[in-house]
Amino acid sequence: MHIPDSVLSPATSAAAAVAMLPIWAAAGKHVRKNMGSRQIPLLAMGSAFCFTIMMFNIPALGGTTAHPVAGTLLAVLLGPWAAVIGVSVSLAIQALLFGDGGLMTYGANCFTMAFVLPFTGFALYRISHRLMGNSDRTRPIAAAVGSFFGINAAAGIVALLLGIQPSLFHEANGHALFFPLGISITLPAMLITHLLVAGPAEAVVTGLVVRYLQTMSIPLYGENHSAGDLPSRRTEKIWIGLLAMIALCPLGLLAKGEAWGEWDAKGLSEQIAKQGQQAYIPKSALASEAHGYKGIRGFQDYASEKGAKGYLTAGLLGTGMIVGLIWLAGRVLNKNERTHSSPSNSGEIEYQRSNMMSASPVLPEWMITCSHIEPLPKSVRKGTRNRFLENTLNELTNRHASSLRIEESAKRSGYLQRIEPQVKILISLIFIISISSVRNLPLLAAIYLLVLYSAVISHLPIKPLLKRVWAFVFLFAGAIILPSTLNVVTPGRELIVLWQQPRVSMTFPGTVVAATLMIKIAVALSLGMTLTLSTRWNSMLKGLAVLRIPTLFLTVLAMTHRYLSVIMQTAADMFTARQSRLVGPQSNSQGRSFIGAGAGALFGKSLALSEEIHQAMISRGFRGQFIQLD
Amino acid sequence: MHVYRKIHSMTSPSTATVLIPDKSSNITSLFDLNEVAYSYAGGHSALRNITLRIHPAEKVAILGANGCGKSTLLRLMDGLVFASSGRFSAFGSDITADYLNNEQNSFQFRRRVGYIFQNSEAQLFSSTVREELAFGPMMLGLSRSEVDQRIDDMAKLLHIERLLDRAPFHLSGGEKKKVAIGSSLVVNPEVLLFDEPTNGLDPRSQRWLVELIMMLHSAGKTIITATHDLSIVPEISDRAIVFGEDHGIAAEGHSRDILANLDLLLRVNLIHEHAHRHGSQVHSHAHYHDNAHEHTHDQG
Repeated sequence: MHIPDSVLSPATSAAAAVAMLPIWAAAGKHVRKNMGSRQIPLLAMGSAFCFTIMMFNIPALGGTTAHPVAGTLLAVLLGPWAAVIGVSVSLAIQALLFGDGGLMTYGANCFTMAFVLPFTGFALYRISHRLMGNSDRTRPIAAAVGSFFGINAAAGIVALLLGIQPSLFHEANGHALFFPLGISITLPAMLITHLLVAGPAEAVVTGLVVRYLQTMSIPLYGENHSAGDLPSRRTEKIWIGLLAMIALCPLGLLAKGEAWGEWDAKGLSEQIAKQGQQAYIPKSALASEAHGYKGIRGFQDYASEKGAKGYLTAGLLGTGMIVGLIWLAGRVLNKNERTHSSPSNSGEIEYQRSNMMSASPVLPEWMITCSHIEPLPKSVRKGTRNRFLENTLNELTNRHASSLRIEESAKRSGYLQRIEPQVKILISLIFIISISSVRNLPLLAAIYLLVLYSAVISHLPIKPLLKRVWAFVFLFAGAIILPSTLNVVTPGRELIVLWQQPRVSMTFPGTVVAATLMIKIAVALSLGMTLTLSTRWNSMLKGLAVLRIPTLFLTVLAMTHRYLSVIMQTAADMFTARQSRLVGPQSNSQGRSFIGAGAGALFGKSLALSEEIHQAMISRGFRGQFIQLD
Repeated sequence: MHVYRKIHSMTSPSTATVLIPDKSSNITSLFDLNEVAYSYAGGHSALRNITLRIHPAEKVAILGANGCGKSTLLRLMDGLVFASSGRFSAFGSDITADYLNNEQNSFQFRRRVGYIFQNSEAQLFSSTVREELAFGPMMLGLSRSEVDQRIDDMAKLLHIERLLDRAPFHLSGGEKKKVAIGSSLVVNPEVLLFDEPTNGLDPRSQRWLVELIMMLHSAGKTIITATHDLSIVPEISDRAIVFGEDHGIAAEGHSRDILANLDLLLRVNLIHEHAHRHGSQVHSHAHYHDNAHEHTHDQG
């Protein structure tokens, strides 16, 4: 659900970031008031927990896996305001430390995942819990319901942000400047995947975690919030203000949409600025196209002819096919494995009772003999290979390895490493904003080579830089943008005809639109990655401090990073332990309940650790105000 | 009841001779616990009827099996948790949540008492070792140059100069413990509370730690150590307080007398059947439980 850089217009990104400012301020205030001096360790553990939870893969429909966003869970556990900060911090770590998400789109990502998601989730959790009689028994169900709606609301907002791009930001000839697909595609695409796959998985895990914590009688801080905390008049005001801002900001900036290229003049060398502006003047390559691009209008025509129903069915069919294929592949793989691995029949082995063993304690009889191993009964064999365990473990270890690699490359002496961190952050941001407005393919390629060159002369690891960026571009961005190559979205000269009746084909302008966007995303991602790879975490924090990021946020960020490896190690140990004790395949529901209990246990541990850290801070004179060494 | 007279062999600059008085006398004590009890929110009891005095410049060991309430007692003495019933006073004032809510009071108390957590992971919450050492002094409002001076001195004392700009999660267990101790010592407290300090340390680091504790004591610090590592008890303490599994005090006395009382140690689960005497003393050197180990049992 992360929106990468270059996909949103700078105006939309700015609007979302501006909308987040009062929310962050309110969240900081609430958290300070309700949690007192406990806030920092508790929030840090919450963020580290949230970050780790996002790496847990949940077995979903037919062998697919989805990862939870944990926003609603965090809202139920710590309260919705704490969830705002918790998710924002873990998104910041993803963007700054691992180059995930985006720098420019950070505000938009926070708006959807750190605000819409936990607040919708929490509100629906409270409402449904009240409807079900406020009992402990129904709380897990209410949390599940809340999280289902939370994640779908966030997905809807993401679809909306993406979908308004072509109609708001296009050139005179109708070519999209940023994301090319309209709402009538993005909305069904996002909602169908989230309603069918991610939503149910999220709901089940949230419910299971809440149930686990309840049976372990681990306190839920979210419960301490009084009912007046939620739809109070003040929060309502914030909501109204936000909605107004969302509605007005992109529209107000619409007229200036094309003037955004002027960023170049301020931020970059004049030469690039010139080229950047040239890029705005109707493109030679595209303008030569006889038919031209009708953009959203062409699309609306289509939508009105066949109705949104057509898209809905198409989307449903597509999702169904993907799920079906994965399920089939899973079945075939399982079958192969079964024929290969038949459990070996070692007969009964009697161990000698040694003199040593006769000393207390006495082992039970069944431990002394190694019994005949029966093949697994057929009924138990059903289920997937425990792919979710492997996936999660891989992800946890990869993350750890990559954080070490980043620290190492940032330590090397190189050109980029020597630049002050705050300067680097600002330059990257300005660069990313400018690039998002450039549409000239050769210029984009030149900028990309420039970024790569600066990475090479700074001794940054090039292979992971290329691999990460292009894997993302092709797997994620590519899959989303691919439909825009078709004549249905971008009419024009046909390159390849895919289907005769009705006529479906890839068009030249469509391919150019898609390729431009993919290269833009690649450049922006590479920029983000070079920033993280060339900056040590501590100097990154110092840079952010110079840029006047509030201390509460920075302190929580620093402490979250400090404890991330501890929590991730704990999670990895849990999964390894599970794998080592596993005999035979498991059903999806067993897998899900393990994830639920595992996440619950992880939260319990995080909470205990935060309590202890709080005491350690108090013991050394902490009175609620954090002072940092500069 | 127990009357101790003990003359310090290791002379400290401030108190060359310390008399440990019996309970009835009125010589000022640092900590005074009177019938203190503590139970968790769920009603689970962690401390029961604890009456105890700690005197200035004492070395005290708190002994007990896992889960008998040692850590809770240390937390109570550090003003992190408060007695459910009974009274705890330190430096002549009753320590309550209200008392420590006062800025002046908490400043004085935190400056005078330091606590080294069993879990270094919890104690090291900053992003570099330098910031970790700076935390306490900055909270106490020292000037920047004073803070830097203290960091440098502390790093030299603990031989961690080269770790100063490293992140705590890159350190080994022994290094973490050093930094954790440094982060408390840098405030220069009068009373130091150690919670299972030798846990998870290799023999060389254990040795280093014991010597550090002895050095701190000879500099006039009051040392209170909770442990179940009996081998270090004679060196890190003169007096030992033994917790029973009922969360109350089972015995207290001279450390050597306590260690010699095998019945007591067996009863509170600090030793198991294989422990044995050499002459009049419990064996406190390295002890391996391999099968070749020969034992001579002189009592059943």
